[in-house]
Amino acid sequence: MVVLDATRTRGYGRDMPTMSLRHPLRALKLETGEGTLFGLLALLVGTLFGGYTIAKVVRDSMFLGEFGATNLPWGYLAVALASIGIVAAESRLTTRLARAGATALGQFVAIACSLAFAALYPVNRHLVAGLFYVWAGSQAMMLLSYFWLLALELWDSRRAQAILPLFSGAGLFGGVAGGWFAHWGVGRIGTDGLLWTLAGSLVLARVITMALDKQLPVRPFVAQSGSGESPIGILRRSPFLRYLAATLALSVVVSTLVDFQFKYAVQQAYPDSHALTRFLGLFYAGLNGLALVAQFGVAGWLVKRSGVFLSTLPQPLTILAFSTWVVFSPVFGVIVALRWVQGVLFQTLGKSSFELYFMAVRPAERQKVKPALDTLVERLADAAVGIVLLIVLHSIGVDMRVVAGLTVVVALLWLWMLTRLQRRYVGEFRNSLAQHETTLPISAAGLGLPEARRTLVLALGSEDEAQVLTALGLAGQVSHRDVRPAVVARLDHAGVAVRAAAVRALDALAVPGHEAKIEPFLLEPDLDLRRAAIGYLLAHGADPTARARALLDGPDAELRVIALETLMDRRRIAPGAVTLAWVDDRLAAGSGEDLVAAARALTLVAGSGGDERLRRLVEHEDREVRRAALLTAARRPAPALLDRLVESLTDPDLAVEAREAVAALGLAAVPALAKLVEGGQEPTGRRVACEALGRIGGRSAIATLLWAVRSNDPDARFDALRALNRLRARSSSGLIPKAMAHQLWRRELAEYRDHLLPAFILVGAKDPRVVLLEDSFFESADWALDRACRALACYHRPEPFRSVYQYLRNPGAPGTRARALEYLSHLLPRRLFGELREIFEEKSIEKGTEGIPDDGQVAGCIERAYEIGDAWLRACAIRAAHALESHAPFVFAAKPDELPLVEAELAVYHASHPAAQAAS
Amino acid sequence: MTIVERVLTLKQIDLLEGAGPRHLLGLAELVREVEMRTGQAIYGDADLADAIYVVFTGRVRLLAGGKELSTVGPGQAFGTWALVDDSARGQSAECVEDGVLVALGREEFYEFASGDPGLLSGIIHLLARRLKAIVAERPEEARVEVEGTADEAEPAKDLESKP
Repeated sequence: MVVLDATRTRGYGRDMPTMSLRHPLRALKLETGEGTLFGLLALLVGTLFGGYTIAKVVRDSMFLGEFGATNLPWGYLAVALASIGIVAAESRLTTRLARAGATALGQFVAIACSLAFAALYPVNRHLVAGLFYVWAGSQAMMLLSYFWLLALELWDSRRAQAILPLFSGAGLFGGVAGGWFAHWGVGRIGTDGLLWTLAGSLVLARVITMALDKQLPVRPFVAQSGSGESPIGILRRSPFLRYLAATLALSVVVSTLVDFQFKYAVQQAYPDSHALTRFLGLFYAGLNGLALVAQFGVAGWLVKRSGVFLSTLPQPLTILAFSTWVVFSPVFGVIVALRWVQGVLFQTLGKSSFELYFMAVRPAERQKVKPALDTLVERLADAAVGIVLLIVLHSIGVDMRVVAGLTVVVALLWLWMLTRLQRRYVGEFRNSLAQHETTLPISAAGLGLPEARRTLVLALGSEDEAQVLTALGLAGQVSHRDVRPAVVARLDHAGVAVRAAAVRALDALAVPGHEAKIEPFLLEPDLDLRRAAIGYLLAHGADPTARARALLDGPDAELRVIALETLMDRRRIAPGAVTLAWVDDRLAAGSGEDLVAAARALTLVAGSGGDERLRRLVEHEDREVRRAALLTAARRPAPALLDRLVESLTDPDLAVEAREAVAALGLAAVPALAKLVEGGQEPTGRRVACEALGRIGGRSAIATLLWAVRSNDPDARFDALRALNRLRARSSSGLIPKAMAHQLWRRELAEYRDHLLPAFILVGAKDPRVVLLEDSFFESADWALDRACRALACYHRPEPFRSVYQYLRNPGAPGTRARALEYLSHLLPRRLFGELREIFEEKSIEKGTEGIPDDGQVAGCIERAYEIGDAWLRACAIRAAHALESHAPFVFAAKPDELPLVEAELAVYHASHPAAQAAS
Repeated sequence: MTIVERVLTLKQIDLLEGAGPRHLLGLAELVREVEMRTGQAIYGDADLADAIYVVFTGRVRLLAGGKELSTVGPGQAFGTWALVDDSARGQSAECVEDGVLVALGREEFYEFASGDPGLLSGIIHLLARRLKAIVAERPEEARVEVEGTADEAEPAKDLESKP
């Protein structure tokens, strides 16, 4: 037995202490272990956004100082072209590098560029001003994209909705700090000092990213859309997406026109470069600060209250108002106010409403189209503005009234396009409901939006029964005064399925007061309708206990079963409805159904009187009665039944139920389970005992599992490692010392290598008997690799290791194995990682194994399989020996306690090779 | 037949090609060995697909509407669609040379597979690969089929074909 360090094993099992970080993490919708990850990500986005704001301030002041605002259109054009080139280069790179590799490369390029700009600035200001403008608008922007890609990769869309806004907040906070620093610092450290600060912030971002990489789980790649359709193809097919692209383009055009007016005005107002930088720093700090307040205050409330359309309108409407004002009075204050309002609304309402519009797109298509829209449409729109401004400025000169007039025209176009988009948006939901899609391309939060809600109400009143059913399925998630009456109205529908769905929706919405209408449904023959009606009546009707008793004592056996199931599922709705006397009545009735009902009802009866009755049922001859009794024992722990429950573990048909019943007993069951594990004669019993130990936890359970982990039986090792991984997932620290995990990893990896080498040698063999041996070697290697990963997951967090194992054994996409190796390189000591890299990167095992194996090689593999293999591999080795007729007969030494599987193969081989039998 | 021989036989079933040898080991204990005589009907057109067969020795002729489709011999499987579809066979099989068949019942298969997710995942991967190939060949039909945006009258023909 292994004696464990108490500090490492304390607190597992049922008495696990609550961790102090648990509640703050839950408040942020984070899970245990994600706190550090979240903190580092927030720090990273804050640093990046702070650096980016400094870059924006410096970029604008340098460009305006060196080239003047009239040359801004050339800047827009250059940034657009550079961005398209960089996006294209980046997409090529990401197919060759893992995400972490692409991020690192992007960060190193950004650091190198920023250092070069800082060093060159005193030498050639003009050149640096131009190049810096293009770089800050293109490559530097990519760093933020990398961050969002990483964040989206870490959390699924449901959790991302809750977590990502917090990162937006952290980013805006960084933006406030960056803007304020530029305002404060330019007078003290100058523009070149700000450039060095920018380089420093990028270095800091790199350091945070490196720390982050150590925390990151390796996640499986998200499957791409199976249609293989290009983003352009999807855009052509979907009118909604075309409207969305056009709206996005118009909003970018308006933003760029506003940006031009603002920069022209501030250049006129602040001809001194330092004063300009100070103003821009303060401006961006204020803009980000107001956006931060708006995002966590007004924006979410407005979107939820008014819907996506009304939340999108303030942006074009305010721009329209302010631009019209500028047409008549192009004064500095109005133009700054225009830019300010546009910036805040764009950062808050603009971004959220566009994300909501994207929700109406099917996820697979969204995944393809969104990056294309974000990059291509935005950049092309920027380029278009650049060209238009160049034409305007060259033909009529700089006239703010004309640019503001142009802004008014485009803002009007934008408003018109928004109304078209809105019509299509509602149409998309209606189509989804009409096609009876139970999984709508929107989240529950999206369903609460007024547009979706109105469509839902329309669908509830539809003539199409399938559409009504889909709508009722969704209505249970939308508690709103408009939705409830529409659901109630469906209680009168002729279709049984619709009425059942309506009752379930009212149950989910917890709407009381409809018993009179629902009670008659109990008399209908449809089982689903009766079940829904009982659920509603017991949960929301008057005097549920009396009603439950009436159903349990009533003549209708089906209603009795449904009522009992409902009470078991929702134990709080009718306390005391089931009594021991009722159980005895069922026991006395004695039919199979009555006994099953009695066994299940014991779950709801407190007190020791139930134990004796439960024992009788656990020992009953009818398997289904035993199953029901075991399930009850799992819900209502009965220590007196331990021996009987442990015996049931070896029954393959009842093992799962028995496991839960034994695990419910906790530490008291460990000695009996240890006997099963250490006895080892019965594989099913050992496997289930390990699973039960993995549910119980505690020092003694872990010690028993570690005994199995160190045994020579690979199956026992697997069962125990799996149980330990389960325990580790519930724990906040490693179950075993790191050195022990590495030792176990090394042992399994050696086994992996031992099985992989002969497998590679046999690749190319044609005889099916030899191919079976090859497949079995590969399978043994796979299983050893699985155990190796599980060994590490006893110390480290186990979640990433499922992906690590899959990526290592079967790299499905370019870079997947690289990702797994990259992850392991952070965890393993250099020496152990070197051994791993030798296998996977240098492929030393595969070297020299190419081509069809000759008889000598096959014979060597047969002997190796018989020597190192389990019973199956030995049996396969003997069968493969038949394929080598020209080879001298093999001498297979019989092992003590050989399994029948191997003995049967030996008998066949010896029958055809008598000389071999004599020799053995 | 020894267990290893049964596993070798089961490996001939194309739907099980993705299953590892040790997964087949459990199935090998469930299969039945069926002796057949020349002229004996293995199953008829209207029979429900309740088992898959692999010829161990002998030969079997497969017919549809009285017309010969093919003849299968040792190591070849037939009626494999029974694993995924329990409707009528739509074709018949008769013995044309004495021998032994290995039969794997549909019910037994699923009872075993319910405790071995690895086996099912192998089959699902194989079916997914085939579906992917069909989708790659006929993307438009596949999109309509999956998304239900058109009448359901014309499913992709490859999806309907049975071995």
